[in-house]
Amino acid sequence: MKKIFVVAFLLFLASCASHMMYDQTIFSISSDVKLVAINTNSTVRERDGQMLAQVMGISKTNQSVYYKFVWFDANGMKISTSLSQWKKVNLREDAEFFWNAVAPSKRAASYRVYVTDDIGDGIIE
Amino acid sequence: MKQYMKILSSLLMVMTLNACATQTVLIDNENDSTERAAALEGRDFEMASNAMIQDMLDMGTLSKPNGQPYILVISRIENDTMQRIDVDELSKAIRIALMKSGKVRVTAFKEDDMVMSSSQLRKSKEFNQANVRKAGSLAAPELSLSGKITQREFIVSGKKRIEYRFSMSITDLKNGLTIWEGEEKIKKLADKDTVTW
Repeated sequence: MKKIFVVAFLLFLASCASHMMYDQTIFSISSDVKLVAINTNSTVRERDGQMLAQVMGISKTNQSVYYKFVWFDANGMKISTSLSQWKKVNLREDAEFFWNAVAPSKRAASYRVYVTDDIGDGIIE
Repeated sequence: MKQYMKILSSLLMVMTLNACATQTVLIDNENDSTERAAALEGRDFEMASNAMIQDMLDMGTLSKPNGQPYILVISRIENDTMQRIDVDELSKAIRIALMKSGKVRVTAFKEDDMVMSSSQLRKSKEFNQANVRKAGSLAAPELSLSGKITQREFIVSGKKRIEYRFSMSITDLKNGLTIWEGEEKIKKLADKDTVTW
């Protein structure tokens, strides 16, 4: 019985180690992206009401990833903007990274961040 | 039998012709990761303009203290590359994003001849004067957006390194002072025989 508990505990730890915890209401991260941690904070500039966001994290390995910020208004409607384009970056193993973004307009009330290692080739079949 | 052979050969010919026809496919603008050209292409303009718009909004210099939008005029954007490109691709992306941000309104008196020539309608009795622009009612620009795109090429370790530099500035027309300046570099590595023009 003891052995079963030990094995179960080890399995639990292993599962904790492989699944990074992150705020799923803000991030959508592809399972092939290997990160140690990822977090975000945002602020609204007092002078002009401009929302600024920052994502910071640590990469588990050397990898190339794409990320994009998608902005929403107070009603949860997506704001159409050229600023929500995929951006490709190289991440280094165990190194911190910071991604900054500015809301496209004062209408922006929230945002989501998408991270993936593959955006396909873009060909519409 | 001869009839069958005729039908079969015509079918084969149609199928061969079909196979030779080149297929054109659509590319999804949002997820385009198809191969890049060594020359400047749409995605390069998007990348450069997005980086510069982010910087403009991040700096906050385009925010008037009273919250009203600035009146912007698009001035000269010089093409100092070896390519024949429409520099409007860059300025258009920037002006669209800035207008959407609510921080800027763009005056079109430079590129739209009708803005100035519509004043001639004042003399005409054919037009209802209610819609005709009154003298002194055009909004004068407060800011000017100008810039330059340059290209440099080097051969390094048997490869061609192409560097494009997008430099833009926004000038306050009241005092001639530059309130924002940005520069975005796009570097490409291609085969040394690649021609970009």
